[in-house]
Amino acid sequence: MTVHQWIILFILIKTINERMKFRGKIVDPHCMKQFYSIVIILSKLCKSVVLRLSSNKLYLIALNESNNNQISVWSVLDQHSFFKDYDMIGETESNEIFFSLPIDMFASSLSSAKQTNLKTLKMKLTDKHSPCLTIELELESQVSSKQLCVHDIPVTIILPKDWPEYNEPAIPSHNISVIMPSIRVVRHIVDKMKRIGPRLKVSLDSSGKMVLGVSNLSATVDTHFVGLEVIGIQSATGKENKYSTVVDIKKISQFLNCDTLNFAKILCHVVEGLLLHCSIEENEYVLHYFLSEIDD
Amino acid sequence: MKCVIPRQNLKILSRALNTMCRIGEDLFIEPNSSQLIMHTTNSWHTVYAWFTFDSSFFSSYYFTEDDEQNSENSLKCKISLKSCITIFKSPHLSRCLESCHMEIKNNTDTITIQLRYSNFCVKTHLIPVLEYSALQVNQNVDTTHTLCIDSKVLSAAVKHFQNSEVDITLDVTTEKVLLKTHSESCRDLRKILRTELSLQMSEFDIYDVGEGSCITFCLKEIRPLLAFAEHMSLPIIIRFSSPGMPMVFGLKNGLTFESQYILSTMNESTSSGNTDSLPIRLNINAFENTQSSDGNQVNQLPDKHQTPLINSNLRTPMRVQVEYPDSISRKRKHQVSNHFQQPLKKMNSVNSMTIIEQFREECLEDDVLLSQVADVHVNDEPIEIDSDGHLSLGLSDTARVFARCFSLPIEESAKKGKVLVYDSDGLVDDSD
Repeated sequence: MTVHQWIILFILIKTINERMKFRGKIVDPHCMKQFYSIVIILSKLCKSVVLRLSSNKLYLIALNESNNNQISVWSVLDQHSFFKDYDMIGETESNEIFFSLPIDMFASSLSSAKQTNLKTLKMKLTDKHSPCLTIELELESQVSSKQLCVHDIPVTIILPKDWPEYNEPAIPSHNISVIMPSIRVVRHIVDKMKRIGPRLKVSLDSSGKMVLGVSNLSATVDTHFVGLEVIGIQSATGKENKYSTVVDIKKISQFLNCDTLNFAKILCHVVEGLLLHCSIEENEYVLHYFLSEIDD
Repeated sequence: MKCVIPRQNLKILSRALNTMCRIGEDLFIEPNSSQLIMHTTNSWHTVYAWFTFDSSFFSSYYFTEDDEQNSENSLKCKISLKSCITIFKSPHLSRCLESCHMEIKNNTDTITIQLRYSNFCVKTHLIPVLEYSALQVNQNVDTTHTLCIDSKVLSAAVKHFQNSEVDITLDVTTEKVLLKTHSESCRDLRKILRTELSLQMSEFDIYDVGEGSCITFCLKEIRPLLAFAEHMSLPIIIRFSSPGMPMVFGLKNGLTFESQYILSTMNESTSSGNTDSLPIRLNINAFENTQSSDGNQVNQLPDKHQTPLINSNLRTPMRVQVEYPDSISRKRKHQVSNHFQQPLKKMNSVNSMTIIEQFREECLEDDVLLSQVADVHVNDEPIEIDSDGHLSLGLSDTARVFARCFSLPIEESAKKGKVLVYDSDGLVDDSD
């Protein structure tokens, strides 16, 4: 190989690395708030989150480190309904970018989205000392001039060989799905139950009844919610139409304690003895929260 | 020195004290003929907070000739900021409080703060003076640059930074001001969130920065002042010169009161080097007066109480006395006489706590204000005195107090009833 060829190869490699690019811009205040509320929900559930960018969708994925790196939160945002401008070039032919970032920093940098004077929210991948997700907030001030606030969140780029870890989880077919009752009531009750025991038994039956139960040596407490709308139920094989699962009460309480969930329609699915799955399915975004059954 | 603070200004004073409480533990008070100065510093001497209330802030302000003749130093004193805060913290402050009377005498061991309520209740607090000393700070900070900004804009700007952020850098150029995370203090840049906020020149009311400068200061210390300024909707004046030199945050409300925070800034040479980049201390000295009160204090007290008092002095006990009008005491008279005769007979065997509890119950039935008053002393049971002799002494003293306060309205047809509340040293106050 001649020196000339070496130089060409070097330039080629460099361009491949530099090709990775992401830019997004949100201008609609409603979209900003919604985006912020999704990030806030995630910040309550995990410490770091993986952001997967593709040309049409934006994924926020959180792994459960204590449980075999299983996916605990899987959320998909439709790029077109959130971003006004969205521009990305990915690394491989699948045209995707994966990187992880600390969610608390992400949430605190977006906290200005609550303010009413925010005009635009820009996100882009930059290289300042280290790879960063830069968030630029353009604020309108009382005086004519504009304020510019820039947050640099350090990120870790995930190499394509590790991507399969973040593939869409295979959701086992649900035994039963219902619409959750008012989240405020459930949150209040679960918070009280937390003092009784560490394990919450969630049972759903075909008549639309949800029973939350907790027990310790001296007491068993059950709370019954009746008249819930049943969305789907596995064709009953026998007469037994009741399905239940036991989950960690602290984790379910963390999920219920997200204030931004108050107005969302939350679906609750149960796979008998295996999984509790809560999901929010809106037109613009989908959020799944998986809680697997805990052992005795 | 005597002064009266009207109700509307009491909230300002309370906020100012709360602001200072976030800085230091001791409050230095310095009255002079035209104004009352309150100031404090933190233990590291990197920040100095200073509030001045002009005589127009008060509804009346007497600085007697006697005070003037004495050297002014004799009124300068140090008290515990925490005990001062508790006086104004009460949730009932706004409802029926009318005014606050404050009195500082020459070389006495307490400061008197009297709260007067609209229903003629009077609550007197005797705050012990820890030391007759003054802070001496060089307030003529040499500054070349001045910025003046609306406190709302500044505190909104500061909200972009994480709550845990300690130091921020203020980078001033001829066109704009950049506020950014102080990155040098953190070793690993890959682990911190860096924030940078730019404010255009037009945001500022005064923009006199010359060539510009770049200084680093402690954001944590300044947040309480920003909150105070935002609440009062006053503009903030920032004065500074070069890195390492002190900077000043000031605010002023006409002539009535003004405040200044002097902050040390980080030295450029130390921060860029690998040595620890601690801010330089301000030049602050606490001077103790020649007329130390310690000697007097000991002499005034009976010998046997000497040790407990000194101990409790460290815990800064505060004596509270409440006077309430006859109308309230009449209502309670018959109940009192019924319920309290038995406990009084059995006084020696009854736990002092139960008496206080009973007293509280009585109060709760009657009047919310009195229950609040009774709340003050529930923690101050005389049981805390350690040796057995003192314990019984404290107990009997309390018994006597309550015996007296409940029998007073019945025996005499005085216009006012009185409740005396004692702190843990169990001393009998002869003020009734």
